[in-house]
Amino acid sequence: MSSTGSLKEVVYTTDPAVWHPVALVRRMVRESWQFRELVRRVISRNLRAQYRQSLLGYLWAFIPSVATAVGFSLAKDAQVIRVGETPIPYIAYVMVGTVLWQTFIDSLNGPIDALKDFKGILTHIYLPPEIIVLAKIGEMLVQFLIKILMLAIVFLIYGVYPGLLILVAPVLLMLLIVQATVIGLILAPIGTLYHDILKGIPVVTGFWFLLTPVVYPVPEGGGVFATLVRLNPATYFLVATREALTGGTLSNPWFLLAVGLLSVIGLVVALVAYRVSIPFVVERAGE
Amino acid sequence: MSEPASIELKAFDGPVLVEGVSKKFCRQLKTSLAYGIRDMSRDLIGLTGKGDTLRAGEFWSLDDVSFRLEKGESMGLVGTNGAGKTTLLRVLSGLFRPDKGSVRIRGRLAPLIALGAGFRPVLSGRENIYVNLSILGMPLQEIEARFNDIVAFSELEEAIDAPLQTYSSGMAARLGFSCAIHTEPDILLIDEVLGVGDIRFRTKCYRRLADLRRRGTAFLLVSHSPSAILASCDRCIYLERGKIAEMGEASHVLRRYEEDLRRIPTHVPGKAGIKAAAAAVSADGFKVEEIYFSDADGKKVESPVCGDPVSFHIRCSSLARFSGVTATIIMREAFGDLQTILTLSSKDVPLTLYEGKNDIVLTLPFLGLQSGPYTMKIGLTTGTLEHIAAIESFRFTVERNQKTQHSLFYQPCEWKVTSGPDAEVPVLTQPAAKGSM
Repeated sequence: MSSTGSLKEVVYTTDPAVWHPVALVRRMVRESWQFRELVRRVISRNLRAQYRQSLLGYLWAFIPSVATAVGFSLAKDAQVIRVGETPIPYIAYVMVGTVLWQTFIDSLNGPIDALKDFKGILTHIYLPPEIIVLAKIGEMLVQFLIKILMLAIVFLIYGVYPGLLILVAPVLLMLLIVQATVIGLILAPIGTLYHDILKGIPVVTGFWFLLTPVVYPVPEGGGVFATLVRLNPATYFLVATREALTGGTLSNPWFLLAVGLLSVIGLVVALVAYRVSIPFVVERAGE
Repeated sequence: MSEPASIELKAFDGPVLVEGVSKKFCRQLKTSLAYGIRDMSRDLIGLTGKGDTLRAGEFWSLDDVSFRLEKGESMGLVGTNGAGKTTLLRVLSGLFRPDKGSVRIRGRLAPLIALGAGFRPVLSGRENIYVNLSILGMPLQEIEARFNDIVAFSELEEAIDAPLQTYSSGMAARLGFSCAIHTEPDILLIDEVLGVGDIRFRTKCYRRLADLRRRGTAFLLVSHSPSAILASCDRCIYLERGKIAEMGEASHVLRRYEEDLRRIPTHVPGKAGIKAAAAAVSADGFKVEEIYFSDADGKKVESPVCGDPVSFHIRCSSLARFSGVTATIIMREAFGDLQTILTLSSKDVPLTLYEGKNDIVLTLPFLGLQSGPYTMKIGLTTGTLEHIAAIESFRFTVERNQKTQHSLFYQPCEWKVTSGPDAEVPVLTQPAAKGSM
């Protein structure tokens, strides 16, 4: 603002932005702070808009999980599917799992959806593109809070009592969101140019769901399937958050810490890459 | 984003410094996408792209553009469509990265390009002010501090709580403009948006802009209207196919721009004879075969000359006889506002067209049109207003005539001095000299 303090100077050159990482990151931080009001507005607008034209409103955040849980429960009771022993009643187990899985998928789609939403504005007015992603992350967190209230009711009904570990659950969940966002951030710019990516995502996530211990516990032993499930990056934080929420114990805390740290570094790198890539997308986005 | 040493050496205190900026684009979508992915990946791993050369299918949308904008200076920007004006504004806003050169911006830049960015029809005017200003990067306290001023300036106090969809387009534009100028920018990019609201509000906008300018805001004003630029800009840039064709004092640059506009060749098909059948809509059995101009000697001419006698011919063939036909010819500017310059109608002299060939001739003792490109709309109607033939747009160019300068049209005239004892007392005064511009 001209009235307060010295004038900010911006230089646009042909130098790749990554040559000056410090200046770039500093500008990103400054602008994210400057646009904080927009972040807040976008979060509240998206939350309200999602359920504005519906009678059940926020219940929709939870209904898909209930439906999936009931479906799998019935299938298990009829012995159509066989899953190992779960530490809490199966139906509650699946509900927690699908709520977390949905958060993972929504976070993965977050950067792509945000870019779609804001394409019209990004092509006309300068906006630091990373802030629309930050808004998405915020939206995921708030949505999860709504879901967790409903999970609490389910826990009461089925007599599931979380232990002290519930205190780390928010951190684990955050890392789950971060991890998915990083994947989304990498896909978004390419996906906006080539729509093949966007079309491919539902196909891949459908398959991915089967390889993630959402409706079944982490398999024991060393078969191909068990190995795939354990290598699956979506597994780590999804399982850990579920364990923390349902009174279990964290199976591998050091490993989680390492992956968590990597994810956070990954987020910073991906945000920078996203920011650098967006002008190439905007140039080709048309009117 | 960064400050390479090469330009740090040069003095820079003004709000905008553009040095040798070029930007290229590719019209082929698939190729453009492939280049996009390639450039994006090179940029991410820190390789400089081959920004300075064109690859297959690319063209320069901006080519070596340099200029600076001082504090409180107002610069006009003109050029035909596709000359690169919008690209330049987007490079300045930081939406597009230059392929060559550099841009330095000091201070807050506000685009009056997309007025009311992010406006949502279901939200009230009040909420939309918050949305719009937050998109322009303003924190909440600052929005609240300016809120009353914005509403007062837009004169929408009574409607501010009504949803935006109940606003007229003029009201919405007023709100958008009011938001944009209250960001207290150091640099304002204005793209043809001052056509908002009624004349009174427009005047108010211009006053406000002049105010900002006195306080040091620099402007870049894109407009198709030379008068708007002349009224508010000292200097002007004329872009032509991405290059700066002329830059300097506004009236000088605009004169050159207008001259060039007149010179742009209109598509005049054929040699002397001008076929117009393509665009013609005709009644059954009626056909416009040819339309053309002829000079004093009756020779076909492609482009009539300003001030010379000229005849305009519509040659047609008919299978039936039409009486009481009215021919109407409307001539418009080929560029700009497509303003109607001249309408000629044979209403008072009903024409009769016979079976077979007809040649409808309109004779003009002097062609009054100033040199430049025009489009002509031709209609033939019967007494009952039935269309026999209509030609939507026939384009032609009027050639320059050395005698007529600084005029909107050609005025035939005669000068004479009478003196001495034999001086006649004029009964009628001679027509005045040419209309002035």
